[in-house]
Amino acid sequence: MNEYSDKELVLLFRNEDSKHFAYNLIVKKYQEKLYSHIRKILISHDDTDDVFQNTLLKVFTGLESFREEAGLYTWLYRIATNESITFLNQKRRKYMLPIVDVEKHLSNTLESDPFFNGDELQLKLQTAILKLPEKQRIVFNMKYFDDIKYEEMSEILKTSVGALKASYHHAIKKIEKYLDTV
Amino acid sequence: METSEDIYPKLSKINKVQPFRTPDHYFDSLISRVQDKIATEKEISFFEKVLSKLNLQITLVISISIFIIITYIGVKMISSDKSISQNTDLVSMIDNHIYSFDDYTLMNEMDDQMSNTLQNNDTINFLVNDNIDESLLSNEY
Repeated sequence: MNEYSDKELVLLFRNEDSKHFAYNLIVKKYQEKLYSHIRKILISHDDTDDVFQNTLLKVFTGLESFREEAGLYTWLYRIATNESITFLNQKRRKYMLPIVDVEKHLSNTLESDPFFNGDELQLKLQTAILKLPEKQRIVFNMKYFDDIKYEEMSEILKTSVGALKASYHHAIKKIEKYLDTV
Repeated sequence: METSEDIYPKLSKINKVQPFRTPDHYFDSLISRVQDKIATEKEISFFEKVLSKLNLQITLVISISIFIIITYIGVKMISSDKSISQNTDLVSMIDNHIYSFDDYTLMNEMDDQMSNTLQNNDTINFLVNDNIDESLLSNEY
């Protein structure tokens, strides 16, 4: 099967005859990365599935007016991040939970999650990550696990490169401190 | 040059793999589920989409309107109760003093009531509009 570039996929999508074909290819190309990104924020597979499907729906409706100033990959990541944050905020409002309690709830979910494959050390690491402020957690995951460049992250999160570097540095320090104490 | 082991010694010992897994064949069926959702979204008419968005606004408007109507009715009822009680006072006064009742007492009582309901201007307008001769009134009273 030929690999289409992002630009070609967007052009194919804008043609009514090849719209769904192009959309399927885009989903296939990025589904695992996007899923993984959302999953690291939401922890639970069920929540991730809901948010991921909403994300893909928004991608379908938004691709028509996609301006291509940012890359397609960056744009997809941005939608996924925003949808995940919106979901967490809705969860807080729905259950009237303060921020700390949502992360605590996610941490408890982790231990009993049948789709969590990690060993004891990885569980400790995920618990430490969950103690970070929401945005810092996202920055850490994107840099540490996905190795996304700061310039791309800056496009996705609409934050300066300097702020992202500082955020990542602080996140590392906090995690190291936590791993020292447990 | 600092290595990652120097910067984050504990973190560097942990296997940098994703500890989350997906259910079997999750991605196989993903596209078909999303395509079904897209088809469902299209079936919802424009009108229903607008209506669902307006639902909250419509509910708010209706609630506020009901509140205003109830408040208005309540205020009206209270003010009509007041006038009924004023008239009732007059009637009960007459009933209680029927044998000692005279014009002078009635005039005094009505005066009190008129001053509560009519402003000076209204009194003058009443006299003027009804062509009541002031001299007749002063002779009489």
